[in-house]
Amino acid sequence: MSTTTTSSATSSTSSVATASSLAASARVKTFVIVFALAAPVLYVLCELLSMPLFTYHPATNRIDLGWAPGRKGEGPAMYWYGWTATMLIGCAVLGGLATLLPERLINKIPLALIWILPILALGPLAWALMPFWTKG
Amino acid sequence: MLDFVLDFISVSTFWTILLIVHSLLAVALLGALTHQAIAVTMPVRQAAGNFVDRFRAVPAAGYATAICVLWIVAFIMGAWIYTKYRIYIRIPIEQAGFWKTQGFFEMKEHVATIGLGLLPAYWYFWKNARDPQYDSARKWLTVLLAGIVWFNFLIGHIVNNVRGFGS
Repeated sequence: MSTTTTSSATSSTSSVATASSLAASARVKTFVIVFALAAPVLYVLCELLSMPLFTYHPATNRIDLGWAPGRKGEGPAMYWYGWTATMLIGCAVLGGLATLLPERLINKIPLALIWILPILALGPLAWALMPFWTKG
Repeated sequence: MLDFVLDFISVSTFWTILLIVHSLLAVALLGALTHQAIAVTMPVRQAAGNFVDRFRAVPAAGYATAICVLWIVAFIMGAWIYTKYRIYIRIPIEQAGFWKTQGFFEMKEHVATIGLGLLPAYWYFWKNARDPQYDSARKWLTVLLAGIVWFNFLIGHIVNNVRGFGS
């Protein structure tokens, strides 16, 4: 009984320590900041330039690499999963590469961009949906 | 596994259950992020008194990891449901001419994904809640994520009113 208590207490303490050490790391800081800055930019580019990592056809469970049109008689094609995958992988790569840069360069990035860029992204995303706003 | 479940419930019931789980996760996320956003924009400086003061007086930093987990799980559930939505919900919505409803649903998926990309920074800023250099970014990022969750919750509710699973 006491062993279990000690073990769970140790596990809890170690997970807190891991989270704390991650949050104290300069490389983690660089990674998360660049990841967050890249996310809205990459997502808008994926949407506007049709750059899904893959295309999913839900009616047939078919997956095509990259962008593919809906096939006749096989229902619609879905690109959102592919955009999300492109964005997450792109952000991870950029965030990883940014950790190789000197910290002083990252410190020059205005942190306000992390919440301003997503708001700015709403404009082009809403514009891309124009057919929905103008029909009917 | 899925076939075993479908021996006991209909396909429509199965997807309705998944949608309800997605909605309940969204409710939890909505509550947590609203508490946190209010706490960070209007922090209390004395012991809590009335309901509003108590609402603001939550230990906001303690919500961050739970909010990240809730966002990711709700996102995965939404992505799963979306496969059926695309065929059984969206096509009838378009046939009925509810174009603006569908347009707002498209915005919902866009902002949910962008929010997902912001979570690492959000988590980092809250884990360094005592570092004043992140105060402003943490506050406005939290408010933005709360706004996204409110928008997505309301749009999801409206779309379900227009055409839910099983209708």
